[in-house]
Amino acid sequence: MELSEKKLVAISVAILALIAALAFLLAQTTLPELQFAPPMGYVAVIKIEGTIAYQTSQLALFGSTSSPDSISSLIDRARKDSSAKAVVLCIDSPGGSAAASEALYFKVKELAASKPVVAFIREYGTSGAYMVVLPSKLIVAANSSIVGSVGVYASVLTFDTLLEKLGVKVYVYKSGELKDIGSPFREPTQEEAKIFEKMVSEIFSLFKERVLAHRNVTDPEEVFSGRPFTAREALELGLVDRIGTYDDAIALARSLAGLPADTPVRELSPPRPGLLQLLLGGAFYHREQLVVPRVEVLALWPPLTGLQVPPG
Amino acid sequence: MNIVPHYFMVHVSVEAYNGLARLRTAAALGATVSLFELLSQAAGVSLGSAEPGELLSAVAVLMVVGALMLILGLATWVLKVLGWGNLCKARLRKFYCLTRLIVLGAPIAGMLLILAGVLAEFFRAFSSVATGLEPLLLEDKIVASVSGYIVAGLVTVAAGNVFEGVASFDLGLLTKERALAIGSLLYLAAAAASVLSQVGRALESVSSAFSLAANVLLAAGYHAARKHFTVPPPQPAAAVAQVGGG
Repeated sequence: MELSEKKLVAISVAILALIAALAFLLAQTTLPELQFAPPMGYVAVIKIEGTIAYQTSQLALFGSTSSPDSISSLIDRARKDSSAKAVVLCIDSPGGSAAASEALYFKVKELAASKPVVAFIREYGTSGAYMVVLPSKLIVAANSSIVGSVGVYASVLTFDTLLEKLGVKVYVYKSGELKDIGSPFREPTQEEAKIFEKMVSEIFSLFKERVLAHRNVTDPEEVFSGRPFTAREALELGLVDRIGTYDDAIALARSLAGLPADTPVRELSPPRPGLLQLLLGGAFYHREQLVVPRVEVLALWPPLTGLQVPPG
Repeated sequence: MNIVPHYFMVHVSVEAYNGLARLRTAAALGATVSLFELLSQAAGVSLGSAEPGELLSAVAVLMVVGALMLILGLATWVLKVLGWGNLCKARLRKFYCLTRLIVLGAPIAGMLLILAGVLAEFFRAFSSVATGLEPLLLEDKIVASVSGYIVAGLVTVAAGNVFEGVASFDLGLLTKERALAIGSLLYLAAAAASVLSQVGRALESVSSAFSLAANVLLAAGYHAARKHFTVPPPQPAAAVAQVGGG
């Protein structure tokens, strides 16, 4: 018996194809990512912690901050990643600047339009932080969390009396009457107070509109008084959907996305600095950040550190 | 009288004879490697309950054996390439030339494929770290993707074994050496089991056992097949001159 050249090649190729087919079939059972079916997906978790403010904001000088830029990039990543089937926003923030909170609000709104979003308020979900989570499909608050504080304020700190005692005089030359509005070197005028009130009122009305658009508030007067609420009160007022744990929020996210109970959870975190950044970071980054707190920030002192619950 | 065909036949016989001798040596070395594999696997199983001190010395021994296996493996590969090269030059079959090329290129291509996959995933892992992807996700992706590349690489490496097995089987049919034919079939089975064992993390011992048996039979077969290509004893110079002058 003698095989032709062509037959020899054909036999070799056939055997190799058989081995390859068997290998890839076997790989499908042992290596999940080689499966031809679409991957199961995961629940993405994005943490928003600390004051919501831009890096250059005056509010960014105290404690940790959530920069809208880095949080926005995480939200975008979760939105674009088809494997991220649902998103849980883990919130522990007392709020922040109106502009930064609003920027994140729009990002979450965009995200919520593409996939299920569940917000979990761990400790604080007040003011601007509450605005951020408004577009979420469900808001879950931890039992001991503080929610609400729906409102806007502006503060003006003056120390003209102190400067006077120290013998310091400040001369301001301005192009218009209101150019130095909010100056700490003099008492605000009635006209300036009215302008501040108008600004606060306008921004507040926007906040109010958003709350009313996303939530069925049972007692608007109470909610818009600006006071913070316990989780139970917030539930009664319609500010949150449930009181629960982080695990409950994850389970709800899985359920909303129609995912099985064992779907993995992956936390998306901001980019870590590279080696060059670590080595040269001090020289290149945060050059514009002030070393001394700005006077306006002093008005917020001491920063909110959390409510103390007595034991027992 | 034309002396060229005669010289050519002698030359062909020498090439085939040398090729079979090299393949026989390669098969013998291959059998040794398979034996070491089996022993290493057995040692690995028995090390499960070993004391830390014993474990350290055993790991050292296994590393030495591993290095030895690597050297033997390389020597086997070189001998196979040279052996099939001799059979190619003997002009017995064009398929043997193809076999030589694949035996030479497939392991290189396969290893490069695996290496490229590992490197690609390595760099992707670092870029993913830089973009904040969590380690759990990274590990999953790296393991799965690298394994995907490994499967492709292993199949590529197996191409050399498959062509070699088929060529040996053909040689067995040509020379009617049963050991060669059976050995080559076992060799093909070992090649398949080797790939599947890497993918399915099973059949490792089966693959090594098949490989050992196949290489022993192939060595015997190549040895026996040499008789079909015996080199005639060198003719005296005078006789050659006489033939040339006639």
